[in-house]
Amino acid sequence: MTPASQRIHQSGDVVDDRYQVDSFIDEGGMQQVYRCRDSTLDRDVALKFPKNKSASARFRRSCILSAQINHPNVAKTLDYFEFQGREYLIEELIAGENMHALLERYDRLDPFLVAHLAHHLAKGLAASHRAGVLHRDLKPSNAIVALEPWPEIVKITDFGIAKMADEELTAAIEFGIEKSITTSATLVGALPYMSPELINSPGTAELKSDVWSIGAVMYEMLSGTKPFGIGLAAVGKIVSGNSPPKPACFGASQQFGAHLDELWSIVEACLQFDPSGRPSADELVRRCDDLCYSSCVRRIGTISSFQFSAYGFIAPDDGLSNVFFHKDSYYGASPRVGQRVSFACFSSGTAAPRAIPVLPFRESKT
Amino acid sequence: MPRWSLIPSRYQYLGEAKVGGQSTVRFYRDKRLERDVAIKLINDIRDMKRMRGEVRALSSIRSKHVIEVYDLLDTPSSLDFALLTERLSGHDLSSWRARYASNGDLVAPLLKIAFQISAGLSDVHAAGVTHGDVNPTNMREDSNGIVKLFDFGLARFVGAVTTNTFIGTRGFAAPECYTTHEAISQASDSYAYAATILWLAEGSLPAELLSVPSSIPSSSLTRLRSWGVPEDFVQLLERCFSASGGARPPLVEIRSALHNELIRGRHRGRLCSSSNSYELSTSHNGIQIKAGTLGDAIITYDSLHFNVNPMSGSVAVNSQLITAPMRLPASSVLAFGDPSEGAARRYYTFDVSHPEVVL
Repeated sequence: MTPASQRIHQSGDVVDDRYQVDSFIDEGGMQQVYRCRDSTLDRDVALKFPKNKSASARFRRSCILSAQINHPNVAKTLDYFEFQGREYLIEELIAGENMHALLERYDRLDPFLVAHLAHHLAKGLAASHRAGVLHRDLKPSNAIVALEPWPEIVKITDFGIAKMADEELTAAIEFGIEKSITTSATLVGALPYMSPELINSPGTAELKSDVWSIGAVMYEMLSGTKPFGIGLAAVGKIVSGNSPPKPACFGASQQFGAHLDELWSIVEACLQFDPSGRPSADELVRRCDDLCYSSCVRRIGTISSFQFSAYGFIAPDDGLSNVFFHKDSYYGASPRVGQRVSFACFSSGTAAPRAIPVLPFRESKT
Repeated sequence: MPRWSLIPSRYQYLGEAKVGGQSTVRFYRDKRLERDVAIKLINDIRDMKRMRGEVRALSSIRSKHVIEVYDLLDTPSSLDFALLTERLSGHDLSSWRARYASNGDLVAPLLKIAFQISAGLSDVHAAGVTHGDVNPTNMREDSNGIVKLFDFGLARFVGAVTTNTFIGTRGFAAPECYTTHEAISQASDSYAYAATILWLAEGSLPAELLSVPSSIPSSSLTRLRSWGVPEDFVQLLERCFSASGGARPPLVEIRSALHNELIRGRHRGRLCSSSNSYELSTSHNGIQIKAGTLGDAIITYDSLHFNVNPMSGSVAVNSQLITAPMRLPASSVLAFGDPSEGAARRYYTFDVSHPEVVL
C-alpha cells in the first residue's frame, strides 16, 4: 500500500473542476488510481495518472489503445485530459479488486472458477483484437474482478502499458539481465506471462502473444504457480520451447478430473511455442463456450465439522443454515474443522443444502 | 452555450452531420483519444428537458447493445449541453433487408438481429427505462456486427407522467400512444419491437399497422412462417400486437426464446462422480446411470435442455427426491440412494456448458 505521503491526491481534491477525489484505490508500476465522483454525469469513476515522467509517454498511448475498445469485459475509457501539468485518464469504476489479489487468497482455484474467469478474459481479449489492439501485458494484476464471494465481473485494463516492460527487457538484454531483473519491478511482474517471441525479440509482440499470456494466467489459476517460474530462471525455460509441467495437483481430484483435463488442453494450446500453433482469441472464446462449468454464486463460511474422513458441514458467514459437503467436493488436500472456505451451494425443497465445489482459502502463515 | 462553435478544439469536425426533427448529430474526431465520436445538440433549446431525460436514461443503462456515453459538454449555467457518445460505425438498419436476396437466406440473420434488439431493449427495461420510440432508424449494426440502440430522446423512467400528445413513430407506435388515456409502458416497446422485426423482414410496414387503430398483421406473420421462421418466435411477435399491453410478452421473454433458438443443439453436459465422467451432447444425447441398488436414472439432452428420468431406487436432484421426469438445472448434484444410506449414497455433479450466440 502506498503511504499517504506518496499519494499525489488526497480525498476532497477536485480535478479539472469536475472530478472530486474520494479515496485512493491502487497503485501499479506506473500509475496511481483513485476513486472519484464525476459531478457532471453524477457517477463514480476511476481516475488514473502516471507516477512520473518516464511513465507519462506510455500512459497516453495506453489510454488511446483502451479507448478503441467497447466491450463488457474491458474497462471503459471515458476521458483523457491534462490538468495542472499532469495527464489524467477517466475510466469506468469497477467495484472490485485486481485478479492478483484474488489469486493470493487461494492456493489454487477450482476448475469452475478458472473456466468462468478464463471465459471472460478471452471475450475481452477477442474484442480488443477485433479492434486491432494488443494488450502486451496480460497478467492477473491487469484484470479487475468483482469482490468475493463471487467475481461475477471480469474486466481487462491497462492496455499497451506493457510496452514499457518490453523496453525494459531490451535494456536488460543490453545491459545485463540479472541486474535489471532485480531492479525493475515492472519486468519482474511481467516476465512470467511473457511469450517466448517477446523475450527473444522484444518489440515483436503479435496478437498471439496475448493468447500465450492468457494460457500462463490460466496455468497459475489452476496450479497456484507460474508455468515457468519467476525471475531470471523463467527466461530460459520460456524460450526453451519445452511445455510447462502438468500441475501435480491434477491427479488428486477425481470429481473434477474431466473439467481439469479440458482446461489443461486449452492451456497447452495457448502455451504453444510457435505463435501460429496457438488459438486466436476468437477461437479461445469458442473453446471456453464449450467448457461445462457452474457459475453459481459462491458463499463464504467455515468448516464446522468433518466426520469419518468423508463428509462434514460448513457454517456460512451469512448465518443461514449449515451446508453439507462431501470430501470429494473439497478442492484441496484435506478438510479441517475451522478451515475458511468459499463454496457454491445447491439445494431445493427442505433437504439440507449441499456444497460443491468447496474451495479452501489459503492458510495464513503464522 | 456550447452551440457548435463552442465545441472544444480537442474535437475536430469531420464534416458529417445528421439533422433530425428534435436534434442534430455531428461526427467529430477526438484528437486526444484518437477515436471518432458523435456529438448531439438539441435543435430547440426549449426542449432541453428531453435531452436531460435522454442523458439520465442512457447513464442508467448497462448494455452492450446501447450506445456508450462518453461525456457531456456542459456549461456552468447548465442551460445547454452537448451529448458526447461513441460513433457507431457499420450499417444503418434501413439498408438491412436489401442485403438478402432470398427470403430463405434471411431467416438466420433475422433471428440474430431480432435477438440483439431484444437483448438491448430488455437491458433498457431492466434499468427501469421505457425506450418510447423503437424503430429501425434508432438502431445500428456496428463493424463487429453488434446492434446498438442509440436514440433515447423519448425515453422515460417507468412511472413517469406521460404527455397527452402523440409522440413516437407512426406504424411502430403501439395503439395506446395515440390515446390520452392509457399510460405508455414497456409493453409499448414490445409492440414497436415486433413492428420493427416485420419492417426488417419485409422492408416495409404491413398495412394493418399503418391504420388507426391497427390490427394483427396476419399475412406478414404467415409469410414469416412460410420462410421457416420458428413458430415460437412468430407467436411471440403476434402477441406483441395485442391491443392490450398486458397481453404482450416482455422483451426479456423474447430475448430468452431467441437465445434458446440460436444456441439449440450446442450444449454439452458433464456428469461426474468421484470415479467416472460422462459427456452428453447432440451426438450423444442420452445416458443411463445405474448406481448399484441405490438408484437408476436416465439423463437425456433434447437440444435445449437436459432432463432426468428416475427409473428405480431413490434419486434426488439438489437434495430433492424426484419421482417423475424433470428438467435438470444447469448446475446440479444428483444423489442416488435413500438419505438413510448415509455415506453409501453415490453422487454425481452435473454441469452444462455456456454456449453463446455467435454474432
